[in-house]
Amino acid sequence: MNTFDFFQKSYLFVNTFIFIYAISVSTFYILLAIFAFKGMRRHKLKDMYFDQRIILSSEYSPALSLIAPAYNESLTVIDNIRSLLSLHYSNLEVIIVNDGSKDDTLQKCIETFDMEPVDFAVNYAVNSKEIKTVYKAKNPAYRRLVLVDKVNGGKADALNAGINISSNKYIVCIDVDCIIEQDALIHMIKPFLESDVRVIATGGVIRIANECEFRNGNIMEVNMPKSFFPRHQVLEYLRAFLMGRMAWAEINGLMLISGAFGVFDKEIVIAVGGYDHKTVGEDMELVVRMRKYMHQKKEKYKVAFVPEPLCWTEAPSSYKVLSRQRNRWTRGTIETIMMHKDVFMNPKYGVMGMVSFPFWVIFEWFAPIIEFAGIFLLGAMAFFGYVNWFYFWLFLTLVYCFALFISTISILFEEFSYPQYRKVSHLFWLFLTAATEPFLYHPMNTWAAIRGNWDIYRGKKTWGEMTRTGFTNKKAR
Amino acid sequence: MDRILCLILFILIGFSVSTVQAQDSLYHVVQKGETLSEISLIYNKRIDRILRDNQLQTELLEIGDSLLIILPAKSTYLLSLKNGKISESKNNNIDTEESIQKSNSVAKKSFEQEDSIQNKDQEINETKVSKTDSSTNKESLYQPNVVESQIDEKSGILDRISSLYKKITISILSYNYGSKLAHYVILTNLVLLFFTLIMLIIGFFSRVFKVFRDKKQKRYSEFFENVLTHFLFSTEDELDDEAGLSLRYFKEERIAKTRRERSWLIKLFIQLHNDLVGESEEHLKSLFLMHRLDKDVERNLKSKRWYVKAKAIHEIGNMELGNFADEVKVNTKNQNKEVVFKSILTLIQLDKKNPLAFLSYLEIPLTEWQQIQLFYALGSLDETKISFDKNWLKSKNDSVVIFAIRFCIRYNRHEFIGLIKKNLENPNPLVQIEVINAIRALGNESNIELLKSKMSTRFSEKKQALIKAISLLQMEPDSLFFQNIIRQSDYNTALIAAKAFYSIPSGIEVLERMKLDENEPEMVRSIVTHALDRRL
Amino acid sequence: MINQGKILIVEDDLLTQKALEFRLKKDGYTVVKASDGLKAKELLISENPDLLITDLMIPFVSGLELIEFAKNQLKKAIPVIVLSAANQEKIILDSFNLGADDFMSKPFSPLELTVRVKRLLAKNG
Repeated sequence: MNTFDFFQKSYLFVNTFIFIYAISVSTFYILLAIFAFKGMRRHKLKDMYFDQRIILSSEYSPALSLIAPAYNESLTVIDNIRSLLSLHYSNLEVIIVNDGSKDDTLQKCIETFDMEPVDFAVNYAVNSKEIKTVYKAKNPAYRRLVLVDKVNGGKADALNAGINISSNKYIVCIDVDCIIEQDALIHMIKPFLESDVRVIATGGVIRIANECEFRNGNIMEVNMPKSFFPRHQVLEYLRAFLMGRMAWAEINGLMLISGAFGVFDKEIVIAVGGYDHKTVGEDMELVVRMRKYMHQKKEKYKVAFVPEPLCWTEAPSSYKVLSRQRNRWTRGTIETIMMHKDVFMNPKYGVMGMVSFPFWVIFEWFAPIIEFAGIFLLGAMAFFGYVNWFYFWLFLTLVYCFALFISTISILFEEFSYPQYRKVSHLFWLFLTAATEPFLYHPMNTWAAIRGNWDIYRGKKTWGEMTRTGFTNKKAR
Repeated sequence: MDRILCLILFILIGFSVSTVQAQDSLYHVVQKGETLSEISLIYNKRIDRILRDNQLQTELLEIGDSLLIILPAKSTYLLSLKNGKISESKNNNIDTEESIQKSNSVAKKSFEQEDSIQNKDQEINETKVSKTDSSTNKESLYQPNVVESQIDEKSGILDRISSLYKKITISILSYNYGSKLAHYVILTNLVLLFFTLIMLIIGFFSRVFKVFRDKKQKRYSEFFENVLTHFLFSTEDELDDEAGLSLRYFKEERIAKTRRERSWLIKLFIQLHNDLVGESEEHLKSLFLMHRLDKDVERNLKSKRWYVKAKAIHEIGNMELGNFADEVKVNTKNQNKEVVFKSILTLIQLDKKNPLAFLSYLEIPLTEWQQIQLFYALGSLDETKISFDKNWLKSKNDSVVIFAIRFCIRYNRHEFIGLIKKNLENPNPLVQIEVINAIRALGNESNIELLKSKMSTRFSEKKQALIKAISLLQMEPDSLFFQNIIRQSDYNTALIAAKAFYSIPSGIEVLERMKLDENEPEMVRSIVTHALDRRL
Repeated sequence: MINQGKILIVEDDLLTQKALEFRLKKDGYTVVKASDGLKAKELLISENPDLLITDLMIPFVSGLELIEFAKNQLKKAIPVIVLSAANQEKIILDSFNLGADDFMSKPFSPLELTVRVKRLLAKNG
């Protein structure tokens, strides 16, 4: 018996484990693609004769409160508010929460819309830092608008403040720098109305607005970004939303709704205590908590998803900002998972407990770690001469072909559902991106995720008092 | 959060290292005159290992024995069968003959030793290969005779494909040809690439096709729109030449030849029809029929695909094509729920008798969206003609009860208030709230006592509905009642109670007084102040 | 036909816009059109229409804002007809509170619209 044998045996064991891991990931992806296809198709077909006017003119359409936290958005806040005010919906309240901005965001709003402070009796239904003043416009043309000034507390806190101020049954939580399509709310409210079980939240698709043309806060023409980082994110978001989330929603396992655009049932949100400011992944954490609550109450429910492209956001275009974002996302995921450890493989929590939560732990959290460890190990093995290069290349090509396959499926999903990229050259760029993604972009992301893991291990918390990293290059026209 | 569904498989890089076949293995058939030490020299493998791998106790070999030789991971020995003899050639070394000799001699020495470290050293030496070298494997290939002979067998497409496949795999796999795993991987790769290519081609064609189609549609739509609107609002002699020409084309049906164009045209008609009422609406309909677009609708109605059928039914309802009513009625028994409901809606729009009859035996809940659509469809009808069955108010299906109550509210059916009130005992709070709303709309002062008796509920939404109802029905203002509610209830209910003062004569003054009254608790005063601002 | 006046139509649905345009043109009005609130504002200043017909849910600048603008911020206030798919009580009240002279909900009758237009223009002289 010698150490060499032991080493080899344990090595073989790890090897096999990784192999099985990879096979199961691939299987999952195929399954996700299938479910996404089913859900997408059904949604699209039902949509064929949807008359929006019916919802617009009905007295039974629920009232919505749209909450947009704003921090140092002076450049674009006015345009964005204007576009929010002209959203197609009859019973809408637009709440802008100024989260203690250090610039003149608040002043700009007050001036442009001629607002004055009102005596608002604030009910702190969920925790939020002190709300200093509430403003309403003197001009009845802006009756929909409510401006809230509060002490800085971060995005989650600002959203909670908005919840406290809101007076309607459903809340729409968005990022103020996102562009929302005009009829977005009509599409997003539909799942709440069509379902025979209670819908507690609906998520939407986020699209990349980089290099698209917009004017005064509305999107005019869609372009496929050519620069490196946005381009890859386009592909990534297509996979994540059109294939990933659509599939999860189809089996009622969706546990993540993007903070950039989501509609929630306010009663449930308040019942679970609103957003938690202790985590950077507050959007995912809220949905998990809401789902847990419904299971605990033993009530049937659903988290829905709308695949139409309704929300556009400017994605990070530099590595610095992108890696910070991905680092934050990783930390958010881990924090959420740790905060709700009890959900893992717990049949009490239904599909979430048995399928999506474990998937998130094993394939979303661990994946970058295993990948990183794998590369590291490869290096070590190569150094010691144990690499069978033949098989190395063989499997490398297999992995690459599969990745290309999955990416192409998502491109096709986009093409056949709600195509936004209208030129043939766009499609070419998408495919090119898919072909080159594994070599540079993907490792960068993995690295950012590893850093995220490391940061969490070292105890780095949240994003501090500096709140959100505003995206640096906005088209402020 | 948008989690990347990343290329996790990339991790496999790390584990192609050994995976299942960490080593290459082959079978060596013992020839006449070969000894075990010769064999071990050839393969550079220790004798004791060979023995162990084959579970042999003795070193005596028999001619014809098949020995399993497991080669270490890094080696790429190439074997060629030449005249029954085994020769070897290392072909993955940038090193020259020299190093081959060197490593051979080292190997000889180390065979006697148990020292694994030596082996490692040796392997390290040999592994200092550049990656490109492994690709040279392909060139210096010698295919085993055996395989070669199979290639020239029968012809035929399938066989051609399989031979092509064999050629590919042979060239890629070289001596690893025997490895099953390698074959599976290559096969999977080819399959994946094939499908990717197919999808790419489909995608490109689709996009190209759509680009052209969209351009065309835009052009046609503009054209149709112009003609249509011209036609709607003008008489023939009023038109100028250009419009007149297109109008004539239109009348002679020279526009909209293909099925696609006709469906675009139908869509346009529907859109316009949605927007307009009155005389223009009639005009539109006659245009629609004149152009025989109803034939297209009829064809779609017969389609097997549910979404085509549902769309056709929708168009029938929208354009009020009454002659299809019977066919639509049949579709209320269709398997697909969407088709069924669409048919019901269309029957309502076609003003058929008793369109809501289905409510009497509906067992599944009626969703909010369906109710919204029903009311929208009903909205266009003459309300006296809509038949209402009071048994709906007694239905076991809560959603039917809710619908029926809303119906009564909307169409002022006071006569049913008694029946409605009975539903106050329904355990479903949504039903109770609807009843309260009905009392508020259709009831009178006499109901106030009943409403007040229900105030001790824990459902704040119900409480709020009660407050609104009481405040509207009251003839004599009972300020104290509301004031107490403001003082004792939760925030939302208190706010509603405060706002109720708007419906009470001189209620605003009461609120103003409360606002300034220092005996009132802070919370109450702030709520009252809040309520006084009409904008909030 | 004598020029009966200039009307500005603000409507983002192009088909409806076209229908309105033709109907009004047939009745002898000069028609200026805009598909969004911002353009509408510009046209209100530059074209000096005699009447404004606007939808409420338009991009960039909402219909309500436009009503207020047409009533208070122009050299001479012009009559405003609101044409909207949303017909809830609140919206109607808001429109009138801001000074709209008339409110028509969609679907509308073009004939009825012309009658109302005529009436308003006659009132304003």
